[in-house]
Amino acid sequence: MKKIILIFSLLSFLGACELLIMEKSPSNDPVTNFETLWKTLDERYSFFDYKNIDWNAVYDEYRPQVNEHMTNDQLFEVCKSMLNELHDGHVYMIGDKDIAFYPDFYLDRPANYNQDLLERNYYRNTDTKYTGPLRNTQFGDIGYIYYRSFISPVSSQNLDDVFTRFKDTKGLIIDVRHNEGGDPQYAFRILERLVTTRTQVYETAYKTGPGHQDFAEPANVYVEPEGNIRYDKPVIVLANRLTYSAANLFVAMCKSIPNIRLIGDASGGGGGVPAGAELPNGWAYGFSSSILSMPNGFIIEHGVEPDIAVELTTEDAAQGIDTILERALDELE
Amino acid sequence: MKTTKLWMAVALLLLPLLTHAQSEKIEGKEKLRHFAYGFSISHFNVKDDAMSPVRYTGTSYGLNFGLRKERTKWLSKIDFGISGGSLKSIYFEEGDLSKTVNMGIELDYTLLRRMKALRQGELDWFLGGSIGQLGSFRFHSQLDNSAGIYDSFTSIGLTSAIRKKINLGKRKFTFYYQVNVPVLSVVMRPSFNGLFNFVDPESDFFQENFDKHGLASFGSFMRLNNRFELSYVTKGSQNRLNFGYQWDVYHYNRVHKTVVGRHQLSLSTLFYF
Repeated sequence: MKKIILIFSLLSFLGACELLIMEKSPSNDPVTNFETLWKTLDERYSFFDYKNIDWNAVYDEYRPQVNEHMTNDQLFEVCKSMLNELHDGHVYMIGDKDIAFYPDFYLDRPANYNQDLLERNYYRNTDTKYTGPLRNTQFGDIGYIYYRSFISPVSSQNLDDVFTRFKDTKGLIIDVRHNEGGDPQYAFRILERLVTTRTQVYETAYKTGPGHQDFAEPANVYVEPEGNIRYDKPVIVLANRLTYSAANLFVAMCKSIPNIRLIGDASGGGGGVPAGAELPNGWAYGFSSSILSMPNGFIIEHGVEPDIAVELTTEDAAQGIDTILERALDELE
Repeated sequence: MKTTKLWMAVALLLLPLLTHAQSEKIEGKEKLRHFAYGFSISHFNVKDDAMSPVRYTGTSYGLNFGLRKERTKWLSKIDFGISGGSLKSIYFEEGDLSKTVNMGIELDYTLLRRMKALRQGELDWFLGGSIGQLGSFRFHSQLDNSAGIYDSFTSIGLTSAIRKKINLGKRKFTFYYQVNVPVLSVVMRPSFNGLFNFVDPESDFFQENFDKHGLASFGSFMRLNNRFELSYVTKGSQNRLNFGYQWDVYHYNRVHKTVVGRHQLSLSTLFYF
C-alpha cells in the first residue's frame, strides 16, 4: 500500500512540475483581450510602414475605451473600430455574435460588374458550360471564362477541356470580377497554360519578427509552362474592386506575362497572406502577414491598375451591355 | 458493434494470460525477443504560442507497437505510437469554440547497456542512448492559414533505466523505469506567423522549416521523457502483460514558445518470439 501511495504521490508531483514550467495563461478579461489583440497585430501585421499607420497612436485612442466592466458586445465594437484603422480586407475578427471585417476596400468605387446583365444578355443566348468552376462560352471567335472564386478548385482536366474548346479562337477573356480570392495555386494552374517561358510573376516577403520592419529577404516567384494543351493567343483579364486576395494576386501575376492585358477597374487589393490568431476569450482574428509585390517592386496591397481602364456605365447597363466585356471583345477582334 | 470490438480488443490483449498461468523462470534466458502491441490514453497540457496565448488541455487515444530484444549485456527497444484526440482552451470546456484536433506520432530506438546490478543484485541498471522522432500536429480550424500547428523533433539523446522484480500480493512483477533526455534535435515548428510560403509552388516546406529552426539543444529545446512499466510474466511462453505510465514534457522556445506535457497510460501485450 505504501508503494502505491508513493507512486501516486510521485505522479501528482510530476503533473505539478509540468504546470510550473508553463507560463500562466493570460486572464480572460476585456483589458487583457484588448491588449493581446493590439500587441499581436503590433508584432505580426505586415503593412504598418507601407500604410504609414501609427499603431501606438491607435492604442492611445482605443485603450481608454476599454475597461474591466464592459460587456463582450462593447469590447467587440471597440476592437472592430480599432481593426478598421488598418484599412485591410484581410483583417477580420470572429466574435460570439458577429464578424468584424473592413468592407470599404470595394465600396468606395462602383461595382463595374452586373451578374444579372451577364446572365440575361451574354450567357443565356450562347453555349455556356460549367467546366468545374470555370463558366465558359464563346462570343464569335473569342473564348470567355468566368472564374467566380479561387476557393473552387480548378483541375488540370478542367483546363484541358476549356483550352481544347477554345483552341480555334483568336483570343480569350478571363473574367475575375467579383472573385474574392481563395487558393493562389489555381492562379498558377491557369497561368501555367498561358506562359511560354519561365516567368517571374511576383515576389513575397514574410514577417519574421516583432519589429515593423522584420521581414525575410523577398523570394522571387515564377510560373513555368506546364500542360499539353496550352493557349498562346492574346488574353484579356477583367477585374473590378472586388477582385481580391488570390484573385488580386492573379491579376498582378498577369501583368508580368506579355500576351495578357488587363481591362476594367483596378483590382481590390489584398496583398498580404492572411495569418490567424486567437484571443484568450476565444475570438479568432486574421491579418495580413506578408508583403506581395510585382517584380518591379510595386506592392499590390491596394490593388493593381488595369492597362485599359473601363467603367460599366449606367447607360450601357440599362441597355443590357457590359461595357467592360464589350471593350475586351473589341480589343481582341 | 462498438462494444463487440472493444471486447475483442481486450480479449486479444489478455490472450497470453488466459492461456497461461504465471512463470517464474526468466532468469536463465540469455536472449529474449518480444513484439509488443497495445493501446493508450493520454492527457495533454499544451501551451503553444503559435496556436493561442491560452493553455489547452485534452485527451487522446492511441495505439502502440514495439520490438524488444534483450541479451545478457544489452537491451534494445523500438517503440512506435500513434495517437489522436482533441484539445480545448482551458476557458472553454464546453462547446466547439477553440476545439482543436490533436494528433501525434512517436518512433524511438533505444539501446541500453546493462551496467551492473545494484542493491545486491536486486536492481538492474542500464545506460545508453536513443534516436527518436516525436511529431505532433494540431489543427485549430479558426486560425485561417495558421491553422496547422506542428512539432517535429528528431533527436539523439541519453537514456538510463532501472529494473527491479517486485511482489504485489502473491504475484510477481517486473518494474521498469526509463528516462530519456534528448541532447541534439532537428526541429520543425511553425514560422513567426504560422505560415510557410505556400503561394510559391517552388517553395520547399521542409527546407523552409529547417532554415527557421534547424538544430536545437539544451537551452532552446528540453525534453524529459519518463516511462514507468509494470510487467506481469506468464507461464512457459514468456509472454507479458505490460501496464505503463509515461510522463513526457518538452519545452521549445525559439520563434514561438511551446510547452507540452503528456501523461499517458498504456496497456500492452508483449509476445515472445
